[in-house]
Amino acid sequence: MNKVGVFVAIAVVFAIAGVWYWQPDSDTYFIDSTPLHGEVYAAPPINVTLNFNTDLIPDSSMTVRSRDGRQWQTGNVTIEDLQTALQVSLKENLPDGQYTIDYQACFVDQSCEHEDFSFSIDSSKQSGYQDLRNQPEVTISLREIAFAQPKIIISPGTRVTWVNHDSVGHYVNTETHPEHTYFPAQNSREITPGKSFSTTFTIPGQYNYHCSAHVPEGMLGSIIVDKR
Amino acid sequence: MNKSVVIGGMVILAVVIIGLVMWANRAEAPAVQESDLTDREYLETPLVTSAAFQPAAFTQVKGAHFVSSEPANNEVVTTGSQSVNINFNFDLTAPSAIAVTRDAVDVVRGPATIAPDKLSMSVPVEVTQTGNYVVNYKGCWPDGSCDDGSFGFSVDLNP
Repeated sequence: MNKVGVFVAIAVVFAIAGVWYWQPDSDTYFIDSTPLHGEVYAAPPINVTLNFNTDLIPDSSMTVRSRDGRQWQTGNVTIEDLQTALQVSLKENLPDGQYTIDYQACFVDQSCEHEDFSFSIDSSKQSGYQDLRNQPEVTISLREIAFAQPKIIISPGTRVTWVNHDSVGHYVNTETHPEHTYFPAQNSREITPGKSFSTTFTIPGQYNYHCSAHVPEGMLGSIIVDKR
Repeated sequence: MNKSVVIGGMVILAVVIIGLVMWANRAEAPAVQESDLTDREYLETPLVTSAAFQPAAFTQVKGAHFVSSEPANNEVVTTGSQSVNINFNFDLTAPSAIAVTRDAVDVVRGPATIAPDKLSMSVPVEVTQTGNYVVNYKGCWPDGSCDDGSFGFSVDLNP
């Protein structure tokens, strides 16, 4: 045994103690977000929405920065969804690249959380979307546990109608599941066979959605509103 | 000096230093306020006699689509109750459930039922004693996924 052995023994003891003592705090009210951490969008989201499971208070804040440090949020952060969602709108025309969301969420119990995460925009992914721009009305069929037109690009002001051609009930709900807080106007109750649900999209950006009855089956959709 | 003694001494010294650091930080921790209690700690709070009953404060955890409840979080009621009702703004499905306890004792007297419009669920309870009650619920959605919520209310039969 020599000095190296002594050093290793001490280092191991300190390492074990450090890992045990500085464990991440597991008491957090954060549930999830839109966009999710690491998610890649084909077009800019219209906002960043963070979901929590207890009441937020106005001391909360959020910034959205590109890698060059420029901020892309617009207006003040708002508290939505009966005080459990923190949301900030985004400017239009966010360029491709990575964005960091830095937030401080404060709650009625006087605690606060401060975290950050990132998402990316890659417009080359729009090649997988069906171009339905310049149509005032668009219809999406629900068949065989799927949205028949799962990825579409539409113009601002387009009214989209989902029609259930299946023999089971379906839903159209904005992200995330099951909070449904990103774009609440895109939330339906059950659409029974033969029935439909409609909403109009006006703000340019990407709107991911799902059927709340068939998320495990991958019944997902995405709409890009593009004013070009 | 014997090498084993040196090694052992250094290890002991390291453990002592670590222990001192942890002890110093624990002493600086703020006192727990009633509102800081988690559900588990809340249930472990000793029950106060009716003459000196103090309703406890509860930090509500809201499950997805929670709108309101009867009783409401931190509400103090002065009469007994036969049901707890929770309202949502999206379609509930089985196996949504509600558990109600007082001092860790189950006071539920039947299964939870979902209303015909799927926007609320309720459970029959026997709430006939002064005390602090904790409600834990599970809301389940059309794809079978579920998430949890909780709140508390108090009953003071001798206000």
